[in-house]
Amino acid sequence: MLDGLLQGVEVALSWQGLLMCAIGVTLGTIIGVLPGIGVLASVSLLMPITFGYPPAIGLIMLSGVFYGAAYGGSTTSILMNLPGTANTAVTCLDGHPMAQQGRAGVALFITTIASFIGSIGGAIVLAVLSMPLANLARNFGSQEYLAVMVLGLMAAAAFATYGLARAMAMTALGILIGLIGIDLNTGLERYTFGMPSLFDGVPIVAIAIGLFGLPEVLANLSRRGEAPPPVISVTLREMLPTREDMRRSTPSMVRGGLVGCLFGILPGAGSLLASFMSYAVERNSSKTPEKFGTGMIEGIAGPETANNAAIQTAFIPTLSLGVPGDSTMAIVLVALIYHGIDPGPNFVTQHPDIFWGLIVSFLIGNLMLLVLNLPFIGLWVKMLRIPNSILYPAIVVFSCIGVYSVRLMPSDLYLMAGCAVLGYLMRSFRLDAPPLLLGFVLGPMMEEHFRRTLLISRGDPAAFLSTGLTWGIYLLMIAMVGWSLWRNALTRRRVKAQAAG
Amino acid sequence: MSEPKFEIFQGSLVIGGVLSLIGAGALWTGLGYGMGSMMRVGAGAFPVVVSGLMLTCGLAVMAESLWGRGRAAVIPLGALRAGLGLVAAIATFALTIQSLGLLAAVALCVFFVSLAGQSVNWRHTLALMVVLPLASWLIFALGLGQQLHAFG
Repeated sequence: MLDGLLQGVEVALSWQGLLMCAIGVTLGTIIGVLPGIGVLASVSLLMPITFGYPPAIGLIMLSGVFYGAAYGGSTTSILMNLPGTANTAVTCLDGHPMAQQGRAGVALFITTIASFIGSIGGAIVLAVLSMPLANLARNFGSQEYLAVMVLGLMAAAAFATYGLARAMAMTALGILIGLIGIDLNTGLERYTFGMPSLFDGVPIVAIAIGLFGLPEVLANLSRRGEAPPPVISVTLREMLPTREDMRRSTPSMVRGGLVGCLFGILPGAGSLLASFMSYAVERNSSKTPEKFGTGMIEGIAGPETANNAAIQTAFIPTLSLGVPGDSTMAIVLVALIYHGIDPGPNFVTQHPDIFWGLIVSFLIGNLMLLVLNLPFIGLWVKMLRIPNSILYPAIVVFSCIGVYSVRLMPSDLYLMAGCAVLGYLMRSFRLDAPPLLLGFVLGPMMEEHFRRTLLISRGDPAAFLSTGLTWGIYLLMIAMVGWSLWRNALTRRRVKAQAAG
Repeated sequence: MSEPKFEIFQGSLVIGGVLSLIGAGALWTGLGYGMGSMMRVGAGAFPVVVSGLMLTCGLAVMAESLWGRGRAAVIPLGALRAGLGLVAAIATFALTIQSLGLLAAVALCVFFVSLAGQSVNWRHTLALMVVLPLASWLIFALGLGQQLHAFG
């Protein structure tokens, strides 16, 4: 392990590693700060660019974008009451009231420190837990892999915004889209409608940008030219928290970190859920829950720690099982596969340079982010003043170039345009996009394990439940789905009671 | 002042119906790919399972409206212009990138995205039509070495 760590240090501290890490976290901060550019769309846009670099370096940059955006997103949440990224939406609730009370600087300081602590804690958990999990996974057969993937998809569906049935329908649609192309086992083309451009399958970059990046642009373009919410300005001197602030936020960060690690490791749960759960935990453990939403520092310290801890620990299932924790990790998984690396139980031992290089780069990248987000905060605040008439054309142009440059096929652009309209309609009709993307990535792998399980068991369907481990995984899944249904029913009853009373 | 908008009151019924139809279509097509045997699963088996699930979920979404839990879908009228403009911008880029090259494709794309907004700031648009093509060429073609030609 020490040997691997040294290799990792070598990779991460090489000039290329440092440079790409810096580029990644800076881009991530910009993407996080600017509302309307999703992390997922950005990571998929940048993925093709990394193909020219060694896999470790490419992965260092892509992950930098991922966790850098979580830092930048909270800045916009606090200063404008707009979530810079979905994961930091919950930070608006108490962060923006703090800013209105003239405590924007303190809020920014606390979220940055919380993000840093969450990230470092998450990275340590990643370093410690990946090996044991990989060792466990080495005994996995196809039926266990299938079970873990079903668990991930069902968890993502159970915690989706708009209800289980809608999310499961989107998951199924994603799987079906993932199956488009020539079936490798039989050579039959499926769902291609005879279009040669679909024989190799649907390009993920076009789908990801079309469904996750452009609908936001479309929604903003269709709004009347109302003035954007004012940006609250902030100076460095206002940033120092009082001793009282620190005393109140420290336990929240510890709780948030634990919540974040738990939800990061669970396949399908992810950082968005972690931040919302942590907010609920903070409110429930507070002596003054009614004050949440008016600028409680616990309400930003907990969720920000949780969000970042979950981002780092989401790498655990992705790297050691090859099953992505959430839709953005699905893109990271695809990037690895494109680089010719097969994530799974043997990944850590076969590619110690990548695994440890990534972990060391997390430490370095988070230190860089500390510098970017504290002394240089003024720069990002200025960036929020870029007018939409410049921002949106630039986003669309970069999306077009990004999608086109993957395969140099104009047809991919039409697909992206179609997905943009589809994504917008899906929002209007309250359908979630993340389960679709997760299904898209996992679908073909699930089919492979589905077939292999039946082949090895000579056609006995009991094989799907043949080991204790599969039982455990499916029981966990049933518990998660049951819990989410119970929670939804509870919320509905509360809403109804409020409407009545 | 409220914006003009389309409102589809039976949103759950409509979208549930669309999802069910897609599921049913995929199921029908999947059956044609052959189910194979239990031991050698055919190309159709997994798609049939998944599209069956999709059909079921689509019907469940339709049922929401029967139990009075259906939701209306609201689309602002401005989305029509925005959608057309965005699709036109991307399609123009797709049509011109190989024949006219990167510079023209980017400039045209910027033009159509600007039209897609609810009000056009011509000064910004013209400036962007000059700056963004050059910037894209510098970043993507020169800087990142992508296979993009400045002129056709």
